Amino acid sequence: CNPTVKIEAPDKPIEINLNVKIEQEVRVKVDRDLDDLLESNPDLF
Amino acid sequence: IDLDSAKAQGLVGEQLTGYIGIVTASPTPEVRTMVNEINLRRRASYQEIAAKTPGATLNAVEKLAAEKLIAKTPSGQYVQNAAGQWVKKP
Amino acid sequence: GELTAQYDIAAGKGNLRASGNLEFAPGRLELQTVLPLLRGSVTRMSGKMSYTAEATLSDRGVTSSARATVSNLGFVTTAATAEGVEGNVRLASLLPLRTQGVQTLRIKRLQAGVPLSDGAISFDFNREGLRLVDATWPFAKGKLILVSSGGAITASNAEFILTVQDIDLAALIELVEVPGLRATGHISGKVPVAIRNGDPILLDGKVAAQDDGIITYKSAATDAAPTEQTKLLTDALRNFHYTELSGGLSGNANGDLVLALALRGANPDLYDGYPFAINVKLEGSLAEVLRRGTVGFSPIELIKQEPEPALTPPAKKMEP
Repeated sequence: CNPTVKIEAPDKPIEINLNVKIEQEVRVKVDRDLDDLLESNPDLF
Repeated sequence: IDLDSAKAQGLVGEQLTGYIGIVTASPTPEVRTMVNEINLRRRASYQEIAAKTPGATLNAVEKLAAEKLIAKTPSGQYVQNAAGQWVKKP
Repeated sequence: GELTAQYDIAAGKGNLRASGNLEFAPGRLELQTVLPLLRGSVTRMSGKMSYTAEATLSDRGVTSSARATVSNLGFVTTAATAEGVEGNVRLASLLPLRTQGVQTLRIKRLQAGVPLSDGAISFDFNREGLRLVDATWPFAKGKLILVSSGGAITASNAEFILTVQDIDLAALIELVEVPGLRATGHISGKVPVAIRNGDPILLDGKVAAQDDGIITYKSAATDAAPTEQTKLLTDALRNFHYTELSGGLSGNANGDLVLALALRGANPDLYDGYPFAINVKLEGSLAEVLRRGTVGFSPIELIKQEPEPALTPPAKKMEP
């Protein structure tokens, strides 16, 4: 018998699909700074 | 011309982006320069707030500023509605 | 400043020479107050500028030239905020504005969506308008290079190609300090950038690692029962030898960016090094994270909040 060499195709990889959303709620942190900004620059706002 | 009178005359209005937009179809060069300068100075201030607030992007600060500016616009002056069209504040 | 002028009526020739030093301070003296042309395009100017300008009037009309030296100049424009600008600018003509060929300035700090330090910018202002010839910043032991791509830069149109060159992943991770994450390898690529309303918009840029590398992530958080998904991912990333690492980058650098990361490789200690294909789409204020220098959250916590994404089981699951 003649040995046949079978090139074993690599198995299908384990697939990991991931969606990651970075939501940063900044409304509260920015609120007071914006109020101060609007108040102290009447000519701009 | 200053911002308040330009707003009162309906030449400019508050946009959803936190910046002033030109409403009139034929703005004078003076109005155009005033709008550019005001918007640039607003942007510099928004940038400062974003820089010192962890998690805040410039766009996030601009959007929150727009909400406040549109809310405090007196009725009869122009603001952008949700669809981005110029409307007179009711 | 100093102003000298002569005019020879007979020969119909005149010469005007002005020189001086300006010290800018926001709200007091700014370049745009001296040059109204700049009003609305630059503000909050600080720093020093010394200049000499010359104009000659003859039957051939007016020719002018100028030389300015700036030191520690700072200013804000719609697209970027600059600090510590140094260097000389030679102008071949004032009206219309033309530089004497390519001019180079060094910029200590530039904030344009992302923070960039110690850059050098070369620009040319000729008949076709302003063009960025080369702008280079050292970044994470590699380089970021910006070059004009879409013709002249105008207030409303500015298109560039950002070249990412040999960014060292280990150095990059140090910049954002993701707790427990380490990586080796270098990434390079090209990212088309368009400035729209002052925001740098990244248009589907591609970066990839040229060589293999290793990613190790040891999640410090002793999280509760991880989902099957996060367990498999953390096991894989405990010692992940990647053969392929590529990223797609798009979005608004001043707002939300999307990074689509594709990893191919294996963890030799897991399932006898069974191959893995990991695709992570990361969306959010990524540029802001870079600016702040810390991620400020543990990635695994974040991943666990996600709904259970698709997971294709391996063809034949071999227990280690």
